[in-house]
Amino acid sequence: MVISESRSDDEPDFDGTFRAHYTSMVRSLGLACGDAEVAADAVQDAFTRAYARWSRISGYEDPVAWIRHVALNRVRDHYRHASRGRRAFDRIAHRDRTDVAPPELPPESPGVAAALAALPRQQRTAAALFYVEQLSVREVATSMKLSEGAVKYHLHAARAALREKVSLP
Amino acid sequence: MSDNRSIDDLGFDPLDDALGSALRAAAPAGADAAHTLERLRPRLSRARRRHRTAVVGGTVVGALALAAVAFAVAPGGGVGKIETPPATRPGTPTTTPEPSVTSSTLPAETSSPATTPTPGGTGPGGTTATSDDEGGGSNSGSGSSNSGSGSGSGSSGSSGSGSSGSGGGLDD
Repeated sequence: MVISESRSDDEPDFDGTFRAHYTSMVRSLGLACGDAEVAADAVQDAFTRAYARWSRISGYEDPVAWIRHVALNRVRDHYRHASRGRRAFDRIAHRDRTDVAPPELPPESPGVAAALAALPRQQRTAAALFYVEQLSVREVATSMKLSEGAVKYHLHAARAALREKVSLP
Repeated sequence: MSDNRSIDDLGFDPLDDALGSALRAAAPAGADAAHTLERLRPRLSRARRRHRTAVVGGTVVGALALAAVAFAVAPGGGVGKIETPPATRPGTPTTTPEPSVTSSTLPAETSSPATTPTPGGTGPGGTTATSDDEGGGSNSGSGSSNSGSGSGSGSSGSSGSGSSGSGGGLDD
């Protein structure tokens, strides 16, 4: 009952934010992590957390950047847990495997996506947010909690690595 | 958004356009936002309820803790307490009170044997007085009253102290 009473002014705002940014966030994070399901779960989780404290978060300068940052953290936590589980499994199986597998992409994914998946995590995320979600450098920096200079560095490196995979018109 | 995204130092060029279109084509298709939002409604409500419960619970617990601390610290908080003196008096060593106790009880004991010896302190008391005194003194190393009476009777007189000494000896 408390919930229904509290749904007065903030819900349209939240709904509008969700409708405007959910799909693009899932797409960019899905490309960055290589798993659309994990990205969708992370984005939904981030929006759920934002909704619980929406009265505070809606007052932020950029609430969407907060949501995107939470979603990025969720994705990172997911892969950290997964790699920890993999290492534990390898220990149990007495296998010596130290390499961390990059995010898996479907076999039909284009070469540029495969090249992106081979990049380090920061470069991958910066490129996905910049090119897929079409954020500015400043927005990428806010979402990744990095400086603009660091984002530009990562974008430079990603672009240099992806250059030969793209056929220029 | 895209007008703002021209990379200042990177220089936005055709490569970026091509990269953007290629990556957007490779990105997975996101689900419909409106449909997802409707599906998420119960989860959102639960999350908000849980968050509010946590906030209210935390506030209540904090207020209770604050009140408890304030009650304990406040000067009126100790009204119901009973002030007990310290177990040892300051300035007096703990071992000294015992001799003072024996010295205070000594006259009472010596006075009471002084009345009792007359019935039993006839013949045997004189003979057994020395041995019983020693026995009483040695056996009652832990007991202070018997040892005190035994030693005192040995020095003071044979008849009176004999009965008291015999008491200790009979016990043995």
